[in-house]
Amino acid sequence: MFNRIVEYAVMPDTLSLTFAALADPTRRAILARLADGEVTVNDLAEPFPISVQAVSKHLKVLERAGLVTRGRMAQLRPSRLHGQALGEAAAWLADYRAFWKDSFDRLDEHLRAAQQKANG
Amino acid sequence: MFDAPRAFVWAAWTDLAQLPAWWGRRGWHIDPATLVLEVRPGGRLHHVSANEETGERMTIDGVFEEVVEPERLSFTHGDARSVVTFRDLGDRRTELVVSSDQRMSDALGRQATAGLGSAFDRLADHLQYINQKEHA
Repeated sequence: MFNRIVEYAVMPDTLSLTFAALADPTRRAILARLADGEVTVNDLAEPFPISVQAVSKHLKVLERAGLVTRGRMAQLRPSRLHGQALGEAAAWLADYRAFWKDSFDRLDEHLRAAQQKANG
Repeated sequence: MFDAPRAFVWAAWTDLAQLPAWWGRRGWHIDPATLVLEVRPGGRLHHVSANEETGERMTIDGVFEEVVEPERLSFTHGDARSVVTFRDLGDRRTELVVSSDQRMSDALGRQATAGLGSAFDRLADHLQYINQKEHA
Protein backbone atom coordinates (compact mmCIF):
# COMPACT_ATOMS: atom_id res chain seq x y z
CA MET A 1 0.00 0.00 0.00
CA PHE A 2 2.92 2.28 0.63
CA ASN A 3 3.39 2.29 -3.10
CA ARG A 4 -0.20 3.16 -3.54
CA ILE A 5 0.87 6.38 -1.85
CA VAL A 6 3.44 6.71 -4.58
CA GLU A 7 0.83 6.08 -7.26
CA TYR A 8 -1.44 8.68 -5.74
CA ALA A 9 1.46 11.07 -5.52
CA VAL A 10 2.14 10.90 -9.23
CA MET A 11 -1.53 10.84 -10.25
CA PRO A 12 -2.74 14.15 -11.68
CA ASP A 13 -3.73 15.02 -8.59
CA THR A 14 -7.17 15.40 -7.11
CA LEU A 15 -6.01 14.10 -3.79
CA SER A 16 -3.47 16.91 -3.35
CA LEU A 17 -6.18 19.42 -4.22
CA THR A 18 -8.51 17.80 -1.72
CA PHE A 19 -6.00 17.86 1.12
CA ALA A 20 -4.89 21.41 0.28
CA ALA A 21 -8.55 22.46 0.35
CA LEU A 22 -9.07 20.75 3.70
CA ALA A 23 -5.99 22.40 5.21
CA ASP A 24 -7.93 25.50 6.21
CA PRO A 25 -10.21 25.85 9.25
CA THR A 26 -12.70 28.18 7.54
CA ARG A 27 -13.12 25.78 4.63
CA ARG A 28 -13.60 22.86 7.02
CA ALA A 29 -16.24 24.91 8.85
CA ILE A 30 -17.94 25.62 5.51
CA LEU A 31 -17.96 21.88 4.73
CA ALA A 32 -19.40 21.13 8.16
CA ARG A 33 -22.17 23.65 7.51
CA LEU A 34 -22.89 22.12 4.09
CA ALA A 35 -23.16 18.70 5.67
CA ASP A 36 -26.59 19.86 6.92
CA GLY A 37 -27.74 20.62 3.38
CA GLU A 38 -27.59 23.09 0.51
CA VAL A 39 -26.81 26.71 1.45
CA THR A 40 -26.42 29.94 -0.56
CA VAL A 41 -23.22 31.98 -0.37
CA ASN A 42 -24.91 34.76 1.62
CA ASP A 43 -26.31 32.37 4.20
CA LEU A 44 -23.00 30.57 4.29
CA ALA A 45 -21.09 33.80 4.98
CA GLU A 46 -23.35 34.84 7.84
CA PRO A 47 -21.75 32.95 10.76
CA PHE A 48 -18.20 33.78 9.63
CA PRO A 49 -16.37 37.02 10.46
CA ILE A 50 -15.37 37.36 6.80
CA SER A 51 -16.91 38.88 3.68
CA VAL A 52 -19.16 37.14 1.19
CA GLN A 53 -16.34 37.54 -1.34
CA ALA A 54 -13.92 35.71 0.94
CA VAL A 55 -16.44 32.88 1.42
CA SER A 56 -16.89 32.82 -2.34
CA LYS A 57 -13.15 32.38 -2.77
CA HIS A 58 -13.11 29.51 -0.29
CA LEU A 59 -16.00 27.90 -2.15
CA LYS A 60 -14.04 28.10 -5.37
CA VAL A 61 -11.15 26.21 -3.78
CA LEU A 62 -13.56 23.59 -2.42
CA GLU A 63 -15.24 23.32 -5.81
CA ARG A 64 -11.95 22.84 -7.64
CA ALA A 65 -11.07 20.08 -5.18
CA GLY A 66 -14.36 18.36 -6.01
CA LEU A 67 -15.60 18.72 -2.44
CA VAL A 68 -18.48 21.01 -3.27
CA THR A 69 -20.82 21.47 -6.21
CA ARG A 70 -22.76 24.64 -6.93
CA GLY A 71 -26.11 25.35 -8.47
CA ARG A 72 -26.61 27.68 -11.40
CA MET A 73 -29.24 30.04 -10.02
CA ALA A 74 -27.40 33.27 -10.91
CA GLN A 75 -26.64 35.21 -7.74
CA LEU A 76 -27.72 32.61 -5.22
CA ARG A 77 -25.64 29.70 -6.48
CA PRO A 78 -26.44 27.36 -3.62
CA SER A 79 -23.55 25.11 -2.61
CA ARG A 80 -23.79 21.47 -1.75
CA LEU A 81 -21.40 18.97 -0.34
CA HIS A 82 -20.05 16.47 -2.87
CA GLY A 83 -19.11 13.30 -1.07
CA GLN A 84 -16.82 11.54 -3.50
CA ALA A 85 -13.63 13.59 -3.06
CA LEU A 86 -14.01 13.47 0.70
CA GLY A 87 -14.51 9.72 0.45
CA GLU A 88 -11.33 9.33 -1.60
CA ALA A 89 -9.36 11.39 0.90
CA ALA A 90 -10.73 9.28 3.75
CA ALA A 91 -9.91 6.05 1.88
CA TRP A 92 -6.36 7.26 1.29
CA LEU A 93 -5.96 8.04 4.99
CA ALA A 94 -7.41 4.67 5.96
CA ASP A 95 -4.97 2.89 3.62
CA TYR A 96 -2.08 4.89 4.95
CA ARG A 97 -3.06 4.19 8.53
CA ALA A 98 -3.55 0.46 7.89
CA PHE A 99 -0.17 0.24 6.19
CA TRP A 100 1.69 1.68 9.15
CA LYS A 101 -0.42 -0.11 11.75
CA ASP A 102 0.35 -3.50 10.21
CA SER A 103 4.01 -2.57 9.64
CA PHE A 104 4.46 -1.39 13.23
CA ASP A 105 2.76 -4.52 14.60
CA ARG A 106 5.04 -6.67 12.50
CA LEU A 107 8.06 -4.59 13.49
CA ASP A 108 7.16 -5.09 17.15
CA GLU A 109 7.05 -8.86 16.66
CA HIS A 110 10.27 -8.77 14.70
CA LEU A 111 12.09 -6.74 17.38
CA ARG A 112 10.97 -9.11 20.12
CA ALA A 113 12.31 -12.06 18.16
CA ALA A 114 15.54 -10.22 17.32
CA GLN A 115 16.16 -9.42 21.00
CA GLN A 116 15.45 -12.96 22.12
CA LYS A 117 17.93 -14.19 19.57
CA ALA A 118 20.52 -11.63 20.73
CA ASN A 119 20.01 -12.54 24.39
CA GLY A 120 19.75 -16.27 23.94
CA MET B 1 6.77 2.85 21.22
CA PHE B 2 8.82 -0.29 20.91
CA ASP B 3 10.32 -2.43 23.65
CA ALA B 4 13.72 -2.50 22.04
CA PRO B 5 16.91 -0.42 22.19
CA ARG B 6 17.21 2.25 19.53
CA ALA B 7 20.08 0.44 17.78
CA PHE B 8 17.80 -2.56 17.20
CA VAL B 9 15.04 -0.41 15.72
CA TRP B 10 17.53 1.39 13.49
CA ALA B 11 18.90 -1.96 12.31
CA ALA B 12 15.39 -3.21 11.51
CA TRP B 13 15.04 -0.28 9.08
CA THR B 14 18.51 -0.36 7.57
CA ASP B 15 19.52 -4.02 7.41
CA LEU B 16 18.75 -5.85 4.15
CA ALA B 17 17.96 -9.03 6.06
CA GLN B 18 15.54 -7.34 8.46
CA LEU B 19 13.43 -4.88 6.46
CA PRO B 20 11.47 -7.60 4.60
CA ALA B 21 10.60 -9.22 7.93
CA TRP B 22 8.16 -6.47 8.87
CA TRP B 23 7.55 -3.98 6.03
CA GLY B 24 3.99 -3.63 4.77
CA ARG B 25 0.45 -4.85 5.27
CA ARG B 26 -0.04 -8.36 6.54
CA GLY B 27 -0.25 -10.74 3.61
CA TRP B 28 2.27 -8.71 1.61
CA HIS B 29 5.88 -9.77 1.25
CA ILE B 30 8.90 -8.03 -0.19
CA ASP B 31 10.59 -10.08 -2.89
CA PRO B 32 14.16 -10.17 -1.50
CA ALA B 33 15.63 -10.36 -5.01
CA THR B 34 14.23 -6.88 -5.75
CA LEU B 35 15.45 -5.22 -2.57
CA VAL B 36 17.94 -2.37 -2.83
CA LEU B 37 18.74 -0.61 0.43
CA GLU B 38 21.58 1.89 0.08
CA VAL B 39 21.46 3.66 3.42
CA ARG B 40 23.32 6.87 2.64
CA PRO B 41 22.23 10.25 1.29
CA GLY B 42 21.42 9.78 -2.39
CA GLY B 43 21.21 5.98 -2.00
CA ARG B 44 18.23 4.01 -3.30
CA LEU B 45 15.40 2.42 -1.39
CA HIS B 46 13.75 0.03 -3.80
CA HIS B 47 11.67 -3.10 -3.57
CA VAL B 48 8.76 -4.92 -5.07
CA SER B 49 6.27 -6.58 -2.75
CA ALA B 50 3.54 -9.03 -3.63
CA ASN B 51 0.23 -9.96 -2.05
CA GLU B 52 0.41 -13.67 -1.32
CA GLU B 53 -3.29 -14.22 -2.11
CA THR B 54 -3.99 -12.04 -5.12
CA GLY B 55 -0.48 -11.88 -6.58
CA GLU B 56 -0.90 -8.13 -6.85
CA ARG B 57 2.50 -6.42 -6.90
CA MET B 58 3.61 -3.04 -5.72
CA THR B 59 6.83 -1.18 -6.19
CA ILE B 60 8.46 1.34 -3.98
CA ASP B 61 11.22 3.38 -5.51
CA GLY B 62 12.76 6.02 -3.31
CA VAL B 63 15.95 7.90 -2.63
CA PHE B 64 17.41 8.50 0.82
CA GLU B 65 17.95 12.15 1.68
CA GLU B 66 19.09 12.23 5.30
CA VAL B 67 20.78 9.38 7.09
CA VAL B 68 21.67 10.35 10.66
CA GLU B 69 22.40 7.13 12.52
CA PRO B 70 20.70 6.30 14.85
CA GLU B 71 18.22 9.18 14.99
CA ARG B 72 16.76 10.09 11.67
CA LEU B 73 16.11 8.84 8.16
CA SER B 74 14.32 10.58 5.37
CA PHE B 75 13.57 9.53 1.83
CA THR B 76 11.61 10.77 -1.13
CA HIS B 77 9.31 8.54 -3.18
CA GLY B 78 7.29 9.92 -6.05
CA ASP B 79 6.16 13.40 -5.02
CA ALA B 80 6.15 12.48 -1.35
CA ARG B 81 8.78 12.62 1.34
CA SER B 82 8.87 10.52 4.49
CA VAL B 83 10.80 11.26 7.64
CA VAL B 84 11.48 8.59 10.23
CA THR B 85 12.74 9.59 13.68
CA PHE B 86 14.04 7.18 16.28
CA ARG B 87 13.93 8.51 19.86
CA ASP B 88 15.70 6.73 22.69
CA LEU B 89 13.31 6.63 25.66
CA GLY B 90 15.82 4.84 27.88
CA ASP B 91 15.14 1.50 29.54
CA ARG B 92 15.53 -0.27 26.19
CA ARG B 93 12.54 1.49 24.72
CA THR B 94 12.35 3.46 21.47
CA GLU B 95 9.80 5.81 20.03
CA LEU B 96 9.43 5.71 16.28
CA VAL B 97 7.67 8.44 14.33
CA VAL B 98 7.02 8.24 10.61
CA SER B 99 5.66 11.30 8.90
CA SER B 100 5.01 11.75 5.22
CA ASP B 101 4.13 14.78 3.24
CA GLN B 102 3.09 15.24 -0.29
CA ARG B 103 5.13 17.89 -1.96
CA MET B 104 3.33 20.66 -3.76
CA SER B 105 2.18 18.74 -6.77
CA ASP B 106 2.31 19.94 -10.34
CA ALA B 107 -1.42 20.43 -10.22
CA LEU B 108 -1.17 22.79 -7.27
CA GLY B 109 1.80 24.57 -8.78
CA ARG B 110 -0.16 25.15 -11.97
CA GLN B 111 -3.09 26.37 -9.93
CA ALA B 112 -0.90 28.89 -8.11
CA THR B 113 0.55 30.05 -11.43
CA ALA B 114 -2.94 30.27 -12.92
CA GLY B 115 -3.99 32.41 -9.95
CA LEU B 116 -1.15 34.79 -10.63
CA GLY B 117 -2.00 34.73 -14.34
CA SER B 118 -5.59 35.73 -13.73
CA ALA B 119 -4.45 38.61 -11.51
CA PHE B 120 -2.41 39.89 -14.44
CA ASP B 121 -5.39 39.32 -16.75
CA ARG B 122 -7.49 41.50 -14.49
CA LEU B 123 -4.79 44.15 -14.45
CA ALA B 124 -4.69 44.03 -18.25
CA ASP B 125 -8.52 44.39 -18.39
CA HIS B 126 -8.28 47.31 -16.02
CA LEU B 127 -5.64 49.07 -18.10
CA GLN B 128 -7.66 48.45 -21.22
CA TYR B 129 -10.70 49.93 -19.51
CA ILE B 130 -8.75 53.05 -18.50
CA ASN B 131 -7.48 53.33 -22.05
CA GLN B 132 -10.96 53.14 -23.48
CA LYS B 133 -12.16 55.75 -21.06
CA GLU B 134 -9.40 58.10 -22.07
CA HIS B 135 -10.25 57.56 -25.71
CA ALA B 136 -13.93 58.09 -25.13
